[in-house]
Amino acid sequence: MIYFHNATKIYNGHVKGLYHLNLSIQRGEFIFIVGASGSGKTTIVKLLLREINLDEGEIIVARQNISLIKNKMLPYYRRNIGVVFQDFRLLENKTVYDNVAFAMKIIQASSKDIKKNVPVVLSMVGLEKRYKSYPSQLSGGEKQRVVLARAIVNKPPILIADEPTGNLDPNNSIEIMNLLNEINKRGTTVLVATHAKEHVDSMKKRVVTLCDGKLISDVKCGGYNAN
Amino acid sequence: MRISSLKFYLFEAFDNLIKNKLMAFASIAIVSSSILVFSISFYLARNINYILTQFNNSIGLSVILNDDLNENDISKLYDKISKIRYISNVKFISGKNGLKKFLEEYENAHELLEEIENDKILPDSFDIDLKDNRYYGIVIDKLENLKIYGVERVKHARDEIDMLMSIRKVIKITSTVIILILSLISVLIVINTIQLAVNLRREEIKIMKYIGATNWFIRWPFIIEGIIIGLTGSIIPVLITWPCYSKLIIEINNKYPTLKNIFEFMPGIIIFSALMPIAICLGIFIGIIASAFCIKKYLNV
Repeated sequence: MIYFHNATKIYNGHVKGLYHLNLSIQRGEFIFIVGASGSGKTTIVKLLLREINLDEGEIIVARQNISLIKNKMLPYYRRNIGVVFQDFRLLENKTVYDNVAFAMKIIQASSKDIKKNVPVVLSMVGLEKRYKSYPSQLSGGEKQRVVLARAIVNKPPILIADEPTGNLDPNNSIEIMNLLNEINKRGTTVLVATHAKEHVDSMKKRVVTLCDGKLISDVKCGGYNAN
Repeated sequence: MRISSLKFYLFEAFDNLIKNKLMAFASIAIVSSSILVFSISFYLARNINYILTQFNNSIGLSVILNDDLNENDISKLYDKISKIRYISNVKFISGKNGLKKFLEEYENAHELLEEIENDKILPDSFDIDLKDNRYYGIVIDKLENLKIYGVERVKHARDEIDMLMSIRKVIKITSTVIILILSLISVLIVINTIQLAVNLRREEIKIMKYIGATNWFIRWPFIIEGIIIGLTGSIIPVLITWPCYSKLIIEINNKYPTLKNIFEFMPGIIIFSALMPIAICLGIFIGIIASAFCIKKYLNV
């Protein structure tokens, strides 16, 4: 489903964001990308979202070379990817319900579908009773669950989470990881860039370790060995 | 555009306006003040033009004929003059009728002229109306060329007409320049104001881009916001200037009643109905340009 061929990204002419990365991720896989700060985890996320472009190599997502996607078509490509950020990035002036519904409005879903799907997704992440709340009234864990709901409401085939537990306490982190696992079980390919050693170790998923932009290990059912 | 999308854009636009009340108020006030200045110039320009037209129409053109022409000569000359392009109407005034007309206009002249019995005190002439006063000069030249057929002289006010034409031209150019400058200033100020609103929401735009919103999906609410600001900002000054203008001309006419004999002001309703669509278009244009410009740089995420 996702293939990196010789993917290279150099910042400011000399900083290696990613260096000749070759990686393939199959449909329905759950994969952790781990590594120290500056190892290239976030670069992978940004490249997959086409927020930045490769300097060399190519990335193929669902059989298309994403570097060749025209800017005009970029929004349609991004709709295939649900994204979860460490800093939540919720719309502060919208309620929980509206934040999730917003993602459906963007793809011009009908009001009927929005009314049907949003409560289902909110219930899945355990926020059905907080649908009227604004982000400022939620805890970190609740905010991240709203972000998850927003990311999956359009049923994207891929979900990318960049440090999803970075701002959360241990209990909330476990809940978010369980939710990601749940989403993966429903068939979504999940890619999590993280520092959270305890989760990586406990979940026994595929672990790709990066160091200075290079892939140093790729282990199925692995643990965190970035350091 | 789908109806559901339009509803969404409208809701977003109004929601943003309400949430950023102060900014919206400032933008409307800026557009209003620009359109107000524009409206005042518009009322002035239209009136000056209207008054000039009245003067212009009152300036006649007549052809004085030689005394020795018989009816046949006069008829031939009438045909020749009627065939000249740009002339809409030719009216023969015999010397007798000319005197009658003169006495009607200047009643005091009766005493002066009562002892004169000669009917031929005034020569025969043609009064000429033009289709368009812009061709005044050409017509005069053509009439001057008819001297061999019995035209003694052409009575005209070419200099006065030329002067009026140049005044009108200057006013037209000046008002166009003023309108262009004002529009530009308004766009710049509104850009600044909307820029602040967009800055506050750049994070929101970024999020929208990440979750797959198209540029037009992001743009529309801002453009509708611009339209609402422009529309409100243009309607307010137009609605204010109309009654003020009507009241002002009533006041002037009451204070200077003799002015009516010289010229009339243009009725407020005529200017209002011409100004309203122009001001609305201008306001909407300012709003759209400003919002489209502001949002452009945040769309490249």
